[in-house]
Amino acid sequence: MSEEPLVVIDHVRKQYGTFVALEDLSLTVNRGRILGFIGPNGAGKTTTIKILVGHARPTSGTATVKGVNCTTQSDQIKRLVGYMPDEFGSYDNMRVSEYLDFFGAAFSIPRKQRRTRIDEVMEITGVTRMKDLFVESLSHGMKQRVGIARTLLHDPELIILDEPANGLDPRARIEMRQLLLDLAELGKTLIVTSHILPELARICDEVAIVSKGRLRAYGTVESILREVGQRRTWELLLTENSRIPDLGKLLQRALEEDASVELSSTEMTIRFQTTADDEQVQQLLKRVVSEEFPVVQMREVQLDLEDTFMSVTQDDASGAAT
Amino acid sequence: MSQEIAKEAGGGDYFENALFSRILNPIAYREFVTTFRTPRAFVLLVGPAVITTLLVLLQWPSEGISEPAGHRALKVFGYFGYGLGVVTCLLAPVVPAVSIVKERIKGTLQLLLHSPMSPFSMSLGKLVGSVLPLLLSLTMTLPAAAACYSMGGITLPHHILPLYVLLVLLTVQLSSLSLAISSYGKSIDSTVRLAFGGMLIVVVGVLGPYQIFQGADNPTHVLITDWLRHVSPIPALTEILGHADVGGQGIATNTSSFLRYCIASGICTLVGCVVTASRMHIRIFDEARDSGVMTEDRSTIEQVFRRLVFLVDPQRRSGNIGNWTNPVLMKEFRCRRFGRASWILRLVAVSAVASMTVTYLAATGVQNWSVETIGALLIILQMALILLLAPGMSAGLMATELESRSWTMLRMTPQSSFSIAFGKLLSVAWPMFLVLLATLPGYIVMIYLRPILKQQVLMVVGSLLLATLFSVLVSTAIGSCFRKNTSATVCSYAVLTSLTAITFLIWMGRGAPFGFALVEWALIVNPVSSALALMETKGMEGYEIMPWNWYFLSTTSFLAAVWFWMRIYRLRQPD
Repeated sequence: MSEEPLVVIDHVRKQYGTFVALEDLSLTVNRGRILGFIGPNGAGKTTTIKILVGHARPTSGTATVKGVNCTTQSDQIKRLVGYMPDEFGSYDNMRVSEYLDFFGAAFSIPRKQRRTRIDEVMEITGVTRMKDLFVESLSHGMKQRVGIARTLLHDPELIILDEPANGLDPRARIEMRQLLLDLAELGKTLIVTSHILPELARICDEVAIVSKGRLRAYGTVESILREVGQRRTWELLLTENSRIPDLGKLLQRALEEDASVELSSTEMTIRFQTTADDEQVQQLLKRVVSEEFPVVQMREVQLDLEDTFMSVTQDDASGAAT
Repeated sequence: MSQEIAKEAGGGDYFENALFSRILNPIAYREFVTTFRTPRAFVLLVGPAVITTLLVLLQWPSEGISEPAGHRALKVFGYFGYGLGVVTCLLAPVVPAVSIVKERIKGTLQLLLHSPMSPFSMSLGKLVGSVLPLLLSLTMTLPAAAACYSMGGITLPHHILPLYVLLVLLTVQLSSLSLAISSYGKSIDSTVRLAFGGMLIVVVGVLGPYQIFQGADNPTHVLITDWLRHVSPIPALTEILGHADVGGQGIATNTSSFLRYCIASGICTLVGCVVTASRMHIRIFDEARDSGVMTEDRSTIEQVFRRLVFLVDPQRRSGNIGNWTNPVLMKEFRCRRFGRASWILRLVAVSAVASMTVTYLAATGVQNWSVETIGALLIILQMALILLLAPGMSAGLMATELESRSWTMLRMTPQSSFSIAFGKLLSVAWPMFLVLLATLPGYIVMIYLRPILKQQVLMVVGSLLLATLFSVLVSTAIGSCFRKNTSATVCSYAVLTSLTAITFLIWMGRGAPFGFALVEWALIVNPVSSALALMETKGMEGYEIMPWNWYFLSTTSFLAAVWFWMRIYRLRQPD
């Protein structure tokens, strides 16, 4: 896999009035990689994408794709980038083949070449059998496929897909995942946003987590898990929930100051994250048992991308709640 | 139960406290309240009041001569009544036309259909919710009506009361029909176009058959067409305002047009409600569009048959867009249902037949009409066609893209602002040009009747082409200022219709109260005045309209085109 950077976001800040959508965001995506771009709603994902495709001007900082400035050279960017927004309009009364033909012509692909190219992208995305159907009559999943076919028409080096699996049924989601992997096989660089984190974990080489306009974590899924895993997560299972608050208080007192403790009365569990080592945890367990808390199980929770996401964005969520 | 639903629909405690909570169903309440939360409510309330007040003020007598017979008052009341009628016709379809289709697109209609409300209750709620804001705006015109009343000569039971009853009935009738149209709509722009088209048919179109059948031997034909024309408010309106029966051609009748209109509009409203109620069913979503079998996939015999039957086969696969063809132009043609070549050919054919028919009827039906009168009639009909088609087709060129979010995709292509603007403008100008060309056979008949008119007719055609260009470009420029297709279309219709109607109104008041200079200025900005002046229409002589009208139309068209291009350029720039 190439180490040549294709996308470089350098200290980008975007402000709308007094609202700061992005704050000092820096990111590099190498050629041929799939980057999962995740964050809670309103985190700044779409703003970042809009800057990358030349639809928004950063207040400060620069974003480039293959060395081309996304803001000042937006016409060149359009040829380098294929973009599928989360919601995109389709034109009424146009058949799939006509829809693709229009976008092919809009990208000035010569007529003969265009015909072949349309057949190719329909084959890649699996929409050949729908070529005579009206776009507006397609299901959501089929429309997403046609949308991806459209982004591929001009053979862009970077493909940005905003929530491509949104609203898809499980089968369509699996097919979409395979389609993205196929595109990566073709040597395309992909930036994919999604709320379905296990999906991203399966296909992405790298993950960037943004929250409140700031980059909170960035790297391979494994490296982020390792980074966040410096704090181990433990879960206590109790047989009754009446003493959960007392046990919560005990844990808060016993653990370091910034350790997080989550109580769940309904599930009769307490989950806490701590930097404590095995010996310290053993001491803690002894104390819990000695004070006769009705604990039946204590286990270490293995983190996945969802847990990592929750962990990384936890401070922002609690900040927002207060 | 209905109050609980209302709470869920957004009423909440506010609904409990609302004055109408006992009499309005939740949909009516929600529609009513949401209309008044939008800026258009201000226009809806103040617009008619301002227009009617201006109409009365402009016609207010300035000379200190008393007139006991009240002719002057009736004249002022006439302008007030017609003005209010036109405003009602233009405003009534606006809210109901988008009411159902918008909910359908947003997905809220599905939620509504799953509520325990009956289809009729939903239909009624939508109707009441659409009609109430308009009725409120009608009450805002009462001061202008009172001003007319204070002039003397008109009475409350014979003039003002029937006029307002008629306007209320008209509002309900047009709203009901627009709702029915909206229940069939799948996109906002086409539904708005159809609703305005429906309004024109109901108000003007139904008058046509009576013109042919009045005085005919078959009494059934006469009876049916007479009742049909009373679906339109115009005969009743002219009766209330003390004018001759429109299109009556001197044939006197002893029936009350007002009473007939009350009955006809009631039936019309009921039909609209029934149609809307019948559509308020979950099967409305079970209407997947059939793509049909492509001609290329049919047997050879079928292919040959279709080749013979269709000039342009709609089921044949389209060829790829040519290398030198503007892709935006092709896209605009293809994504309009009536933009396909098969439909444009039909439209052109209908226009050609209509033009020939009008000329034939005018030439054979009325012996004492001069060629100039026939020409003026043709020009007015053509301008009506342009005014009907131009805003509907061009106002939403950008608003539709923005509203449907397809602009994001178009913006991602390397097409320049000029190319997009050019493609979009040409996509409207070209069919308009074809339609205009199709009406030319009427002029050919005129030249045949009076060969000396050839040069004059050519200049008239030139004027009409300029007027078409002006209508298209001004509508496009106005529409490009909006992000919602409905607002863009309505505003374009309002501006173009007002520009034509108000200036004609000033012309009609030539001599008194308007002076020569003002009338001349009004005619210069009227899109159709040069064509009428060239046709030597009575009342246009003496005014120096040419070439100033041409200068005005071409300069404004140029500025509108530049404005449109600048809007696209701005929208293509990063936010």
